[in-house]
Amino acid sequence: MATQSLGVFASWRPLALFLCVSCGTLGTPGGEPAGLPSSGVGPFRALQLGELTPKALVPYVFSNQTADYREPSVVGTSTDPTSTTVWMYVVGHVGGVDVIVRTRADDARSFYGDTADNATAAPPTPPVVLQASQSWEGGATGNLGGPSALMVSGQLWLYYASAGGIGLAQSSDGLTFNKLSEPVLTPDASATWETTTPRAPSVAVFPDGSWHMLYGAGVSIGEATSSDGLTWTRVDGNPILSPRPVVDPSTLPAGVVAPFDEGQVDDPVLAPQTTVDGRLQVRVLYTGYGLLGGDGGVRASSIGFAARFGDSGPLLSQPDPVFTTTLHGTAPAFFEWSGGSLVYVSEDNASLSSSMPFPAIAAGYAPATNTLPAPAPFPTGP
Amino acid sequence: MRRERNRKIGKIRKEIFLIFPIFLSFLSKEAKANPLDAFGFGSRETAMGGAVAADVSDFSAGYYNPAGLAKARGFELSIGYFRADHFLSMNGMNSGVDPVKGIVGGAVVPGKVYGLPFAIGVGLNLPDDRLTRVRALAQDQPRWELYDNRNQRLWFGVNAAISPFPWLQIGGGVTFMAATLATLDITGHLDLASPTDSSLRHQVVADLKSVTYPDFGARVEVTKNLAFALVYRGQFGLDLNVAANVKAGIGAAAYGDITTLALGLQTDTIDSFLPQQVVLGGSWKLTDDLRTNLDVTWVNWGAYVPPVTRIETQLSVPLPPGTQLPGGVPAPTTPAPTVVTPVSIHDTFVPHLGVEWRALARPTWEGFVRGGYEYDRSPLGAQTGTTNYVDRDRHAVSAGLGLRLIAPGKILPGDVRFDVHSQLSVLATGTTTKNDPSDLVGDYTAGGHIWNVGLMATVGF
Repeated sequence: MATQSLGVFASWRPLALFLCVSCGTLGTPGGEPAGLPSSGVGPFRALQLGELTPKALVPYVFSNQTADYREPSVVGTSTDPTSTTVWMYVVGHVGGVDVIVRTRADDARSFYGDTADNATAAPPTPPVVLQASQSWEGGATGNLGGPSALMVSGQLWLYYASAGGIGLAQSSDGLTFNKLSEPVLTPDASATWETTTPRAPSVAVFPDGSWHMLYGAGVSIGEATSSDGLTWTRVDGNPILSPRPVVDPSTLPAGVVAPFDEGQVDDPVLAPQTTVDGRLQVRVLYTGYGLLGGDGGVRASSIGFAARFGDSGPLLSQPDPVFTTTLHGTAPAFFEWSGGSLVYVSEDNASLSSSMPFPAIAAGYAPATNTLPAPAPFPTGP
Repeated sequence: MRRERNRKIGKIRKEIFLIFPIFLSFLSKEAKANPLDAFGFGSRETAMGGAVAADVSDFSAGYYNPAGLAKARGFELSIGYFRADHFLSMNGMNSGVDPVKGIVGGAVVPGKVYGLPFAIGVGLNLPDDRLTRVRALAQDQPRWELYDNRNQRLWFGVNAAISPFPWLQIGGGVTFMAATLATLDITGHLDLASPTDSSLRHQVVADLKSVTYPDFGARVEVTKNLAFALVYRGQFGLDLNVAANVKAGIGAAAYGDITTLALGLQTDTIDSFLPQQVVLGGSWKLTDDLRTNLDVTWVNWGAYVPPVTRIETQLSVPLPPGTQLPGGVPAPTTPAPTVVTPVSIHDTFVPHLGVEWRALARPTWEGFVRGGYEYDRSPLGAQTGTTNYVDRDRHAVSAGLGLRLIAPGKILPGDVRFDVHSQLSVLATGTTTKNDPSDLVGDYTAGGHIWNVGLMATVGF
């Protein structure tokens, strides 16, 4: 009986047929994780070949060898979350002084007047929309910097920095501006940490209608609030973000580097949002500087991310930068749409040459694992 | 007669004690992951919510309870197909978790050894997309930890069972998987000024090593209508080791090589960890036509090893004195080794409930209706820190139909069975909130459902 039952062990044909059928099936490659949640502020990767026009030098989106574009501010022209049409306000060196120039891109990447925008002739020249003229700005020979553009009820409000503090200009078309005669934020002797004049403003309106301005001063970042965007009050006597404590490199384990922002934090970009849980998350991108003397005498710099929940209080920052370029990226700008987010930074040398360096605006994209669609044509106007 | 039987039993017991150490020799320190935990094995079993530890005798006993093989009545060959589609999302965006699908089947070969019922069973889950996939993600990248990737793998089990007494069946076996060892060597020239002019040669050497984990089971028939089962499944982790070595000259065509880059990279990943499990099951035949089963599985998730790649790097880029890379590009430095963040995870008890009703009974055929339920409480703790191992409590409701043709012909003297199943798993949407406002992932909602359908055909000889 046992022999008879065990005889089926010899009958492997059905099993062999089964295995042959199984191994004959073919599959398809697996997909990568998609639609992942993110705070939208990186980590960013530099733009790649194919994401800019072939004539462009990636990752630079706006450059000119004589105008020395830097310190960008980007604002969307539409409330449509899918729109990528943006205006960029950027500092340029024109006529021997630093002015504010405006350009436009319909894909947030191909900016009017970029070096690569030269299909028929030399690149067009983006218009100067703001330059120093008032006494607190240093007169006609004064310099402007740190633009921060904000859409307010169909108007474009442009905050900027100059010799005497932070000023405001308003425009209905984004090209022709009316300046306020006096700065909206001036140095305050009682704020002892502000060892320099306030600079690099960034303004946003929170969901409760309150206006908030972050600005750089000394080596830190401070905050002021307003009910109308015109009259500002410092939040308190302390900065909301300061450099990380200095670390002795000899005490660090192998492979661990000193904090990227132990020298200075500056150039805040304010980007509040409401999380899926209904919490106000105040997101801030900023420039983090290392100590003087590092990196061949030039201070190393990267773009960091700090945030807080709620409308007041200090910021907590990520220990690692969210965007690093090899050529000292500073002064971030930020644009977010349904397809991701872009960070724009000033870099100190778009020529890759040590003999003829000139600054330019580079860009990074997040989610870093995604790829942007092909670039749009350059706009025909600013 | 009784004395003769006891002598045979004693001999068999000795052989069992010899066989089991052989099984134990296959024991690796860790065990593996498979799709069977998530989606079941076989249409009848899946339709009954996986509550079959005390009520299984076909090929699927290799997974549910090897001891059940000893109840097989004849040689059986089973083949089927199943497909589980994920509709899982985070923040309302589909997470793109790949479907799990493939051929399911196996065979049971019963016989007698020294007059005692004995059987060997083989079971196979063969994905039709890939035999296995290892994907190690960054610790902070959100992923459906229990559904993305870890179910994309082949499962193959070989088991044996014996019934030393009519009221007792015991069985055990091993399950096979593969671990990976690989090296990647890259040599050549890296042009910094013109990356497309770089010439890099690479060589990949990969080695798949078989790894195994054990499973054991026992079934006790208390009465004709009541049985209990106890099953143990071993722990498993798929170990992936990849070493990469890069040696390349660095420079620009116009300047020649400035230096030589030497990079050594060693990665170690434990992927698709499957925790050890203990199942306590019961089967109660209420009437000739109605049976209810209940299983409770203890899952040792507390021993979980997250699939984080540990990377050790050695980097050397010596620059000649007084020189620098073109464009002021700073020389890279050796990155710090990976620091793995502990994951909050705890053991769980998973109840399975199954019902089978013989709705139609005819002399030549029978029809069955089945239903089942399974509740998987998520073992993962709240992801309030930097990790994002996403999971949600799972309620799985299943149903199925069965048709049994009784000895349909001379060619097929045994039964022929056709079974279908459908299972809906609902993962209730919940919100994960972060303690750190500067968390790069931030708050998110996650939830969704999974559809699992399949069919099986079994032929008895």
